[in-house]
Amino acid sequence: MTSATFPRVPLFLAFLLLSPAAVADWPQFRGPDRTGLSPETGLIDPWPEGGPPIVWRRDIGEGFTGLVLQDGKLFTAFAEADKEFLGRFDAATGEEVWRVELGERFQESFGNGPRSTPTLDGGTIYALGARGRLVAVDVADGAIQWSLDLFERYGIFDTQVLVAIAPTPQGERQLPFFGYASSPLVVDDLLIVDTGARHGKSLVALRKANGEEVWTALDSEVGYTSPTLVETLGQRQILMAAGTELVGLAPADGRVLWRHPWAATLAQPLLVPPAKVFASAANDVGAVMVQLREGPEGIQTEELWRTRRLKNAWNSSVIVGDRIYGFDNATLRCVDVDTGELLWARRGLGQGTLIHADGKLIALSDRGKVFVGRATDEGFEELGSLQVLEGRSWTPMSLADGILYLRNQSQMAALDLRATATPAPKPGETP
Amino acid sequence: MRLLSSRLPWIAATALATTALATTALVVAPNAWANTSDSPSLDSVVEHCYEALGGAERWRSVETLRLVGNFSTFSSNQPFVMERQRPRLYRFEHQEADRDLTIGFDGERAWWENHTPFSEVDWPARPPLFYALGYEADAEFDYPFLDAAAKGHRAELVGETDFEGIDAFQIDVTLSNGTQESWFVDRDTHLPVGRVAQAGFKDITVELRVFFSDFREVQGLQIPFTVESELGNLFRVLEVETAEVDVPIPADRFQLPIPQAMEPLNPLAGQWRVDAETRFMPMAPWVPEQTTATLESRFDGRLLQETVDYRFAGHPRSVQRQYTFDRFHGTVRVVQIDDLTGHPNLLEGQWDGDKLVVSNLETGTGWQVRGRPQHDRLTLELIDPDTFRVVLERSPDGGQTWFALSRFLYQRLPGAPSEQ
Repeated sequence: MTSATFPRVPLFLAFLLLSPAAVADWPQFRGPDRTGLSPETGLIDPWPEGGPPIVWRRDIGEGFTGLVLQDGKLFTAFAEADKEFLGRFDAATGEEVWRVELGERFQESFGNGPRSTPTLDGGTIYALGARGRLVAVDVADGAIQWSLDLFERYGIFDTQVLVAIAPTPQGERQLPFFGYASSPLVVDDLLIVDTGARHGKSLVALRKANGEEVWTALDSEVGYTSPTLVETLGQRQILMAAGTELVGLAPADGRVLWRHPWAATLAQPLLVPPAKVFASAANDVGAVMVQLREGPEGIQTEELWRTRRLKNAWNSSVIVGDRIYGFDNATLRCVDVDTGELLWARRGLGQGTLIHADGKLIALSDRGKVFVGRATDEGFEELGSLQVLEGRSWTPMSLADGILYLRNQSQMAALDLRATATPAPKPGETP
Repeated sequence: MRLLSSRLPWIAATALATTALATTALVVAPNAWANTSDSPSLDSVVEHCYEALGGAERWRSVETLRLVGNFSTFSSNQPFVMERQRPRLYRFEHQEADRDLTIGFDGERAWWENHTPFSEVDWPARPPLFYALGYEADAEFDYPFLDAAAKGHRAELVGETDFEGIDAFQIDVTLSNGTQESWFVDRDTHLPVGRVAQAGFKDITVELRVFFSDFREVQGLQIPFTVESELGNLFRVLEVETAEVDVPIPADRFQLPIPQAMEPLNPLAGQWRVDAETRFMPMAPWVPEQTTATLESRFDGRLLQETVDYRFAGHPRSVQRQYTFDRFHGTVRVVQIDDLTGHPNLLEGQWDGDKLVVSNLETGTGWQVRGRPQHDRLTLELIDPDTFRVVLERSPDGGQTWFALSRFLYQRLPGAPSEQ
């Protein structure tokens, strides 16, 4: 299949076909379709003097968990004292509505607390604590519908690379070194979860209604990426970076449709319609574009190009039309989808996370500064920037109803990016 | 995990080039010049660069630098202090993963005190070679292309290139240890704006990219107040708040810190004349002898090793002692072995003023003589820088009473240094 038979369309239009959420929601990790792309329009432009207003900012417990939104409700997970919690908040004010315990607090030298971003699915939200407690919770009142301890059911044994700095003693159950970090994926009546358990159970599909196991797959070590639902070659697939390979699986039964050797990856692989897969990894690995083709023995893969000039760490790229925008460590780069050619580089945005909306790139630096700019083939045309948070800010941003939601390990905030937003007060002025 | 960041000869931050791999820094491959008369030479590029930096002679006259500011790694901003002294003394106090990490180079070898989760030893120690090589490179005071030949380095002007959007001259340098790196000098400002090397990271070698900016004048010198580095998935930012030139820096700042209890012992290294008095039982007469002893400070002063050969009643005797400090138990440990018993007698104790008193009362290395426990005690008394005394005692009653069996008066031999 070639682009001649499948004309390239804006990615978000394709995603809308798959997404169960309304366009104004941000129901899961990295947005409606886990691509960092938002269909929202009408964002503020030009950037007002002093930047757009910060709607609210409030303290929150530790954690790297992203913020998901639905119908004015905001959800995220955090740690307080010795526990982790899933919390619901009022998106308009940041006020807490309810919280549900996610297990004991996970502690790790880069930051404590939960990592996985919850997934909204209608009236239910699925959340995973860093120690493996998976819960299905009623969005309305926080009632737990069911829960499952992944660590107990799919404990990790015999880890070597991704999980622990040192190999785990044989026979000893081990938590992932950085905790359970993958975000659950809803596909029809299934909840797909990365366990890293190996031995054919690294990826499991649970009945989303009750947590019952439906199928298991893969031997890969636990990763820190999340499965994504894509549609390519005429079928839906679960795309993920599993251990040291890229894989596509059939959602119904977990059958591996194709696999391609790759590297230990923290950033999300991305589908480039109709049938290419982009992936990027740090540590001098770089980026790759893989072509998927139907063959007599199933789906075959072929590398189209590789480049060392785009090495995503934990911050995933976004693909807009023919361009890939992503951070090579702390350098924002633009790469051509077809050739891998580097078009431009821009420093000064820190080691940022990235989303795209309304023709603009929105970057959050690793130290809490928001940058907004137009990405052209000539470069990043910055519209403005605003220091919203301080300190380690690695959580991906969320955009819903024109409001940008962000957090670090001690605070979360809402920044009004709507064109109707009133400029932020200058220092010393009363909001 | 490698704990690397930016390297700049005088704003270094623990970088390293472990292999001699050629670097590929460039966004655009450099345009190598043909040998034309109008092509700038390496000398002219370096000359202009150092003019922009404040002048080569001015830089050569600088003896010390102290930089203070904030260092961000893993997106956490913490204070740092970096001190440097010509030719290759270096100390960098900062934090990694929110834990203290001090790196030093004493002119010959690197050391660190590493409290991060990536080190198995959290007290002052020599780092593994993997890291040490990089710290050695960091300790260079100047940019490596200044006086390169005199330092054993080889520099080559490759051409002009685009270094992340900056038109730059590329200078490739092969350091004296074989490490290769590329430097980038802004074509317009002539300031060094980047460095690319290969560096260790999580047990592999990856590209290290360093970016210098925000140059400010300090006593006639241009110093970059912002140094960013990218290594693997690590991004580090060093932001200088104050820079002091030729500020006095105590010499011990660059030395591997040793346990306080070993500090009085290390000056005892050297050759000594020993006036010995020994007896084989409490009531026996003292037998005087004169001999020499050699005390050697090893492992950067964390071990003092003594060898004494002497004669007792005309017969040769020999004793070896090793003085160390056990940081886990907070005690000085002396292991004493003599040629008669061959028994490794472990003595433990503390300093009391100028006296070190150690015994085997609690170490389990005393022995039974006709059913009665025998314990030993050693007292080392500092008298003056060139004189100390050692008394060996024995107790037959679990330490209630002691009687002396040997007394040694040490006097530094003429010509031997009074301090190491």
